[in-house]
Amino acid sequence: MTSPFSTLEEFNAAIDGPTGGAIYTFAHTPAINAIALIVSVALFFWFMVATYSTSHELPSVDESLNRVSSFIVIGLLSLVAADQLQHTRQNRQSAQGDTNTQLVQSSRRAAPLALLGMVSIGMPGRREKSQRRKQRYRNFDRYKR
Amino acid sequence: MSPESQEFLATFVSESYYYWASVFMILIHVGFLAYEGGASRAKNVLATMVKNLLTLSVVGLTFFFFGWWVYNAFPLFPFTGGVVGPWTDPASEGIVGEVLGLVQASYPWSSAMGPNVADNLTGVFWFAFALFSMTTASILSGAVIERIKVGAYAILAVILGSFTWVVAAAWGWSPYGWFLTNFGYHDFGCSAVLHGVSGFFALGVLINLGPRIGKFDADGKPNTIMPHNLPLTMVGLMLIFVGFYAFLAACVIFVPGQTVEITIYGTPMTLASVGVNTTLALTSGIVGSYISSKADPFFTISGGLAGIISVGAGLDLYSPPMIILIAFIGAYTMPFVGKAIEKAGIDDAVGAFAVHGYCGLLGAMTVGIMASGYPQGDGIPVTGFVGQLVGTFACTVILGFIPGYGVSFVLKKLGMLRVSPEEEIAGLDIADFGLEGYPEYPILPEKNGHASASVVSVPKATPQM
Repeated sequence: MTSPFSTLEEFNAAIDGPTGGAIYTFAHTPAINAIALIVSVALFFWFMVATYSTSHELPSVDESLNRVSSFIVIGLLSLVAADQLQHTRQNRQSAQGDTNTQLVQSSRRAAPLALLGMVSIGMPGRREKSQRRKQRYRNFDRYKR
Repeated sequence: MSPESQEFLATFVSESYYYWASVFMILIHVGFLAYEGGASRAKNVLATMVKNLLTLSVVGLTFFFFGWWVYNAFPLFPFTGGVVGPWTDPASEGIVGEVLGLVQASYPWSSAMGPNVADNLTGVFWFAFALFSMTTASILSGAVIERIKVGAYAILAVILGSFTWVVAAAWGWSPYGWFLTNFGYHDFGCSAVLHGVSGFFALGVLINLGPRIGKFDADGKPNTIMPHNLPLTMVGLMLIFVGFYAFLAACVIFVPGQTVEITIYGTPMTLASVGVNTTLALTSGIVGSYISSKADPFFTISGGLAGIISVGAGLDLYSPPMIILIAFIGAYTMPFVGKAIEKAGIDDAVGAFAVHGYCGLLGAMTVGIMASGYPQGDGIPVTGFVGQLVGTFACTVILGFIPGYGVSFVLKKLGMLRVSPEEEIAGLDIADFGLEGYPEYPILPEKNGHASASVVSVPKATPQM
């Protein structure tokens, strides 16, 4: 029984009884209320954890714009670098006639590298897009049956 | 202080206590008004709020005409006596004689109901009970918004608020009621007596009323009809919480001559425990439904109410840790019940059945397990599972579901239950009053149920069970 009293007289005279006035459930077996308290605390911690995990999924940020921006910036930087190289070559042309051939060769060597960098920045987005497209087809197939 | 002054002071304390508790209970109705108004769509906001407001009038007046008499006249019927009234022998003795004294003071023509310096308490108890009754009917009000005829709602509110719940209170929330005297039923905060009755009554009405246009698509799949003002709904529920503290405080019995506070069943209790346990139930309930509904704002705040109702029946007996656990369980499971009802094809606009019907039933039955064995008087069975089962069944099924279903079925057959599809699509504010709730703001038709009306099917009244 959850009641600490067996007769109405005991209940009405609880203040003089073994519970010292406590009339609540399991007042005569405090261990049960202690366990209930521990479970209550555990539930509270569950709630605290749940506050971090119950929000709905937000739509993911479109990163394609970042990639395009990076692509443009890298492209512009490579143009600036090429322009810089051009100026350096013109400046040194008169002073170092012998080294002309070497400079032209080095700028030609840098151009494919810059192109490779630009392509490598752009490629992951392209790969993801094609994967997303494939996934879409896969999902579509699921509905087809 | 003279003995006469002391005696009067005790009377005045009682009179003031119930008076102010009842005044604060009006906040429940302020809350319901905001809650339902916010839960409706913008095209129905005025009609929803006016319908809720009318609850005060139709229930307040009918409770004066006959509801108060029903409470005092029905406790013995049908097992320990008959219905006590003007036909009862005035010379009756024993329990019938005691009940007859209360009955005579409860007639609307009784001198005890008017200004009377010989009786300071009958009127104030009437005031408290009238507000209990209005609360009961308001629970139905939320469930049926946006498609019920005002007249149909008024009829149903009178039957629920001034008769069926009052019979439940006479049987299960009275020192003379046969739930107590024959079965040891205990329901301090009216879990089944009030919430169970109204929640199941609402369920019966909803089956005949049918869902709102657009709530279910042609395949029976439920669509979400968003409240037009969820913040208002949340503020409304906060006000209901405040009113509930007063409601539960008014369930404490303290009259001149008593040496301790008691429940209506005569068992000792304290007002302080109402404060502690109600607060814990409210907070634990919010936590439970927050987790289970994954932070859905509507269910989260309803969880506070679900928690209080889940522990209401044993609020005077449970230890605080037990309150936390029971309120948590009630509120955690409540959203699943709400969703199951929706899946069954029933459109309960505010989750009234889940919060009041289900949690009321759970709350009353939990006493049979978690607060069993409490003595309640000489010759009266101790609290237990069977006693709670009998009382809860009578409240939810006999006084709740069956009258709700039966009366709404008759109204439906007479074409008096539901507004026409044209009125529903146009919005009840325009149809009933020729006004809009927000005339200065454009209302997007597709967000307010207008555009979809052309593509959705008009629902059949009987849901797909």
